[in-house]
Order: sequence, then structure tokens, then C-alpha cells
Amino acid sequence: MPVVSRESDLLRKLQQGNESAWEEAFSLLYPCVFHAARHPLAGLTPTEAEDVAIETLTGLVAKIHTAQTWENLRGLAVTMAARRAISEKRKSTARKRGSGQVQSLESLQEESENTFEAPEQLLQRISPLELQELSLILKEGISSLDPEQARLIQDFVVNGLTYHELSEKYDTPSGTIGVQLSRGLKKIRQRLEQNPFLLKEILSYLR
Amino acid sequence: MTDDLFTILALKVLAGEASAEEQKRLEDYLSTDSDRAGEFKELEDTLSILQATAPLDAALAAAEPALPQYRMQELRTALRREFPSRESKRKGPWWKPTWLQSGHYAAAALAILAFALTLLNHRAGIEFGTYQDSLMRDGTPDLELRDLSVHAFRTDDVFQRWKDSRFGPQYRIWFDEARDLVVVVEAGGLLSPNLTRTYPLAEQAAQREQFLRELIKKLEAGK
Repeated sequence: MPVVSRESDLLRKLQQGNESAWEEAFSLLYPCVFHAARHPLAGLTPTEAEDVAIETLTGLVAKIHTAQTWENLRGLAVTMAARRAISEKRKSTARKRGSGQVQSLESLQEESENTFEAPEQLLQRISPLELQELSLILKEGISSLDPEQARLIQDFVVNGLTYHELSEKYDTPSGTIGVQLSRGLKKIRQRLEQNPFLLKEILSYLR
Repeated sequence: MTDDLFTILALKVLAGEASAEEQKRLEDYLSTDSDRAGEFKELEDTLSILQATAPLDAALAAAEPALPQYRMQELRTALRREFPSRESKRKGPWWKPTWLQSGHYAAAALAILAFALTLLNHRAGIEFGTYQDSLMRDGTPDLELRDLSVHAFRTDDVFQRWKDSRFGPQYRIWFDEARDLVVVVEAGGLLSPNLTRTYPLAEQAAQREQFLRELIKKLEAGK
């Protein structure tokens, strides 16, 4: 059976509550939600991420009727997991800040929401469809870079390497690393600007 | 400030690796040059978008790790809640099966005969129900129950039928991992419903096994 037709068949069975289809879906989606829960910005341990991943899959069951396609369902699962992971981080930060204080946990959580960085605000608000669209654009943007520039961006953004570490890894002066990173980011920005509507929406989430 | 110097300084600040002095130098410069301030903002936004979405993009394509099988029961519980089984949706009184409600009297007569025969020998006994894939984190079975009749289920509907059945052993026991309970169902009589009791479920396998052995002793002694 072609992949698309197999996936739409699976989605239909999920919406009917077919148990074996759900077991297959849970197995297929678990790696995705686990990785989303381990988002570097959330900083959860593997055990915490496992709990978030299971909670996400549990919550996904009730939202199955909102998914139009399998891709849509996967995007939904990934965004839900990332949101839960960030919420976990916020709760834990609020708990740490709140130890020994009289202020309520809710107000500390509220306060911490205002102090969180822009990328985390974006993670909390991006929709599954926007993620799918943005993901395609970023892939195109990154594939337009020199391979080494793309690896550099990957190491800097996803793997969190410092300037010093990048400089050692690529055997390049840190000044050159900065220039390369900046050029790479500008090219990706140019690709994003080709979709002004989406970019405007995404930028509004950063404010 | 030259292009390269601006770029190096800007990226250092965005990476959070700039000293207080470098940060101040950039801020002062940006406050005097709105074009550069715009350029810095664009770099910052692009980096934020990448920081938020690049890991999600990688997550969409992830194929590992595999779903831990010992967590499957929680997912099944969620599924059961959202899509109740046909048995729980069944209309009519509990003592009157669907086929009897629909008037299949020949079938009813046969079933009543079967029921009467079953009643003669089903009352003694204890069964423990579990899922086939109910394993501990290290992949070993969570209990050693050699001297107990164990029913292993692969799917929820089979489990539901076993636990709701009005035939079978006197006691059916299972662990409700979702609610952290040990559930014991004592089979009812012809006119009395099944009796359900619950106990707290221990966290460790050894404690669970110990509790189960003590419980079985009590049930066998009729306490």
C-alpha cells in the first residue's frame, strides 16, 4: 500500500478507536515526542522527558479528531510535547525560586512566564501547521548553505557548542566562526522572508 | 565599527558569551546606529526561531528510542477512557446479556445450561490478570507467580471481558497501574453483583509480590 494511503488508513482507524492501530501509532510517535520533550530549551532529564512523552501521547488520544493527516498528527504530538516540557521547566523554576517564600506558586509561575526567553515563548505558541511549514522553509534555508556552514549552525543552535568549542572543533579562529555563523543566519533569514505572512506570525510569538 | 567586528560582537552577545564590557560596547553602538540595531534584531530573531524549531524539526524525523513497553498500560487506559469499549456502552441491566435482550431464546437456553454447569465448578480459585507486555524497566517480568493461575492479555477488550465476566474463578486480581491500586473482584452470585475491593499498589516488584502472596493467603482462608 502506498505510504500516504497507509497513513490515511491508520489515521481513520485511530479516529475509530481501533486498539491495534493506536498501539502502532504510539510506537511510531513515541520517538518524536520523546525528542521534542528533550528540547534543549527545556533541559529535562531522560526520565522526565519519558514522563512528558507519555503524558503527551495520553493527551493526544482526545485530540485525534482535530488531525486531518498523519503529518498533522505528528506535528501536533511534537508541539504538545515541547509545550509540556517547557511548562515542566517553568514549574520547576518557580518551585526553586519559591522555596522559602510566601508568594503562591501560581504567581511565581506567572512571573517566570514573563521572564522566559523569546525562543521559549515561540515554542509555547507555535501551531502544528506553522511548525510543518517552518520546518520545510528551514530545511530549504539550511540546504542552501555550504555544508560546513550548515554543520556550524547545527552545532551552535541545536548542540549548544560555545564559540571556543566551535573554534576547536573546526580549527578556525573564533572571529571567523562568528562571521560564518552570521552569514549562515542571514541566508536563513532571507529564505524566511520569502514567506512574509508566516514570518510575521512567528515574529509576533517572539515579542 | 567594522562589519566584521560588529558581526563578531553581535554573535558573541547572542551566544551569551560576551563580557559585560563587550555587551555595553555593543549596546552603546546600537543606540547610535538604527540600521545596525535592525540588523542585530534580525539576527536575534532568526537565531530564536532556529533555537526553538530546529530541535522540533529533528524530533519530527526521530525513530528512536522505542516506546517502553511498561508504559503501554497508561496509554491503553487513556484510550479506553476516550473510546469506551462496546461492553461498557451496552444498554440494559447488568444481569441480562445482549443476546437475551434481543430475544434469541434458543441461544439463551443453551447459555443458561452452560452457566449452570459452570457454576458447579467455578467457585473455587483465584486468577491474576496481567498484560503480556507488562514488564519492568529492565525488561524482566514484574512478578514471579508460578503457583497462581495467571491470565496474560494482549488487548484491552480481552482484559475487559475477563474482569467483567460473571463466570470464572471466585477471585480475579489485577494491578491498576493508572490508579496505583490492587483490584480484587469477588464473583457475585446469581442475583448479587460482583464485589470489588481495592488496596494501595506498592511501587517495587518485591513489595507487590509480598502483598499478593499475603492477599492470596487471606482469600484462601476466606478472610
